[in-house]
Amino acid sequence: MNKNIASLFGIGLLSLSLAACSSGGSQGNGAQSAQGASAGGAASGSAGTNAGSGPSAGGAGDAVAFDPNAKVTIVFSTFWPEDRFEEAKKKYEAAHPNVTIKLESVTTDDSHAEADLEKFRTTTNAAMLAGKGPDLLEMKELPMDSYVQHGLLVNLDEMIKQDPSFHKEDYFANILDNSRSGDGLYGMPLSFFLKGLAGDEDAIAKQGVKFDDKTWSWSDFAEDAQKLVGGTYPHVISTTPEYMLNWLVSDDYSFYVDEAGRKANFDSKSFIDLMEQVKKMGDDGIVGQGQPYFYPIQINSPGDYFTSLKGYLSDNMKLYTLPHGNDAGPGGYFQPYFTVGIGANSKVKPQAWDFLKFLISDQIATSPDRAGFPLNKNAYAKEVQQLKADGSAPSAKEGPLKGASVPVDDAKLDELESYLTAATHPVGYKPSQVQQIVLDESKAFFSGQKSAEAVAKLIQNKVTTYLNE
Amino acid sequence: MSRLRIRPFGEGTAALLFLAPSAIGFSVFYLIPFALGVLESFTDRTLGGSFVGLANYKALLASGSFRKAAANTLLFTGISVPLLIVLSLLLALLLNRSLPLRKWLQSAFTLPLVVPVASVVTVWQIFFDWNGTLNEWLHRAGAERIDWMQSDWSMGVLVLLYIWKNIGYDMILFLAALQSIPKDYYETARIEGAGALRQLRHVTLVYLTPAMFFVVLISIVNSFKVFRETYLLAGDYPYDRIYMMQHYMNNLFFSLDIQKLTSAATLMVGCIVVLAAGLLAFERRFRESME
Repeated sequence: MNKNIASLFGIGLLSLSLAACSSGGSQGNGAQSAQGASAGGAASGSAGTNAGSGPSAGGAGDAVAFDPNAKVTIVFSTFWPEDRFEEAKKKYEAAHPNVTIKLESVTTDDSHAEADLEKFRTTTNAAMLAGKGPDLLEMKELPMDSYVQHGLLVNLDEMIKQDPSFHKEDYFANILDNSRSGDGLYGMPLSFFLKGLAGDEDAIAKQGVKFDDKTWSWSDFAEDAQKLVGGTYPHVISTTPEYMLNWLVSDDYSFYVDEAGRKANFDSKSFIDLMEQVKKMGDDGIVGQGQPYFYPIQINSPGDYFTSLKGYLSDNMKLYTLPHGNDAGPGGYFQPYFTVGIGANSKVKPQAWDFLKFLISDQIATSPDRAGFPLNKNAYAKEVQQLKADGSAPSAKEGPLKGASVPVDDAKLDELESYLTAATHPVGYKPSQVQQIVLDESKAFFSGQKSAEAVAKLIQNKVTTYLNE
Repeated sequence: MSRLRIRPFGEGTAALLFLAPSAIGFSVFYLIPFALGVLESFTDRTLGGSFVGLANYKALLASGSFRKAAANTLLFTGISVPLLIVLSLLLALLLNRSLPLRKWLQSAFTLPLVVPVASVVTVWQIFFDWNGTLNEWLHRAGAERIDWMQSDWSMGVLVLLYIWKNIGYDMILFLAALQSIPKDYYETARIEGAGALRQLRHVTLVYLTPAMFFVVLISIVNSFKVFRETYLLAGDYPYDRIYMMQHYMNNLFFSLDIQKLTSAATLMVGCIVVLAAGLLAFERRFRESME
């Protein structure tokens, strides 16, 4: 009897250790068992202490009331060290002697960046799950959607609602509204880039093509492109067929991907037709890497707006709105630069919110060449004012203009502002998992190695797997 | 059984003392975290979660990708383990007699065990890629090339990789077991007129059975470990056929779905425990019948 129990226990132990080594093998997986386990352990430890304060996610109940004289430390975590945060820390600490901002970042170099990034992600994930994460996080390198889904971030909408000193009209409301995910705003975009197309206005007019870039979708673009090909330039847009395909998929995204129903529709005839269409665009020269009518472009700052448009092939380049996906609706595209969230388990939420507000205030130093348009309209106005006062924007010494200054044009600046206020679609730093699968798999079709049907089937399988996880 | 009882008390304590360091290490790094993981699998979230019963398990079983991953893992283990056992046993029988270059062959077969995974994977990648060496050969031979990693062949490639990597280890285990079978048994069998095949069936295989249990168990465990190579070879979303349990769990980990992840791990460990317990019970019965 005794021995039976002992041997049963032995079996349990043995199989446990077997299972443990079977999953401890690989890099990603090794981290998984260790991190997952430690996170689980710490989490169930802190569950008790947390129970009293109710559900922690989005709990901003104490947003406004806090003792301004209490000594606090706010931990602010970023992957890359960033000068503008150092500056902000110094300024803020000078104004609030009782607050210490602790900036945490990873010191790395090119050869280790990838490994360090992986480590940064897993440790931050584990810390967040365990309720021991930083108070403020810059989320460029972190899985923000997963954080939101698991209630690890504060809903900043609640903070805004309870804070009478926050005036929404001081900010680019379109950026603020469209940075929301799901039911709330979980990351504050400190600044943003504008995505668009730089096109040769004269060459386009010469072909007699007219379009309204405020309303055009990717299918409109594909249609107009037919009329442009063979004119002044050999190509219509400088890109690769894979990207063109993803753009066209975005036109009808809800047809191809049904996230709620966990279904994909990439093995449909319309997707195969779409692939053939894009391939034909490549064969016709619409899509190509040579000289085009349109370059996809990212505008980083008011100064950059002038130098970038002069830097391409023609003197008369104009900024156009990037065509939108039909499903997404009209509007331009922007990419958030520095998205900062507050950890749901932070003990100093009100103070963290106050510092976050400082980060998007117009007290932060501005310069028309600084990367990213500030979320704060007054800060943006200051940049524009200075640019007007300077009269010209200096270009980069290594750039195509070799450091020559570009004169500033007031009318064009107004135009820029109209683009900035019309940008409503956020673009992530990395393609989504579905986009990545389409990019990777469609290459074999466009290089003529596989049939459209075979590629469509592969994409369908992988996307289905992803949607059903 | 009786020996255990007769053993003086002091010796048992000493044994426990000697076991303590590894028992503590095992508990801290595997047993306790795993137990916490099991608890986690019954809650709805990591922070301040409440008990939700089997909801996570229900969600898990409802996930098409989980079922696909489980089926693939089962299929892979079902194909590769028997194949590996048969091949390594044949090899062991072959190398158990005097052969020219025997020592060299033995080392050659165990070599894959010591080659670092990264270099192994690079070579396999170059060999099996769509634009890789094997397809180049096929092309030269005038045949259609095959997308090895992106078709049902991918499972075959993995089975090959698994066998290539583990055959040496299993062979050594079998060789050791073969050499421990007393020579007299064979002599007796021969005197009584048993042929080579009869000797194999009634002497070799019978006395090899205890070792066989061990080899099967280790091979099954190693078949789960093939994930490392698969992951490096085909990434986090590989071809449908080679999407394994560990892919599923790994992807869950990166989307922070700890609840589903721990339920999947608990289920998997449960299956392994049942399997191992079954094998060991079978072995005990076998040993008793031998006595």
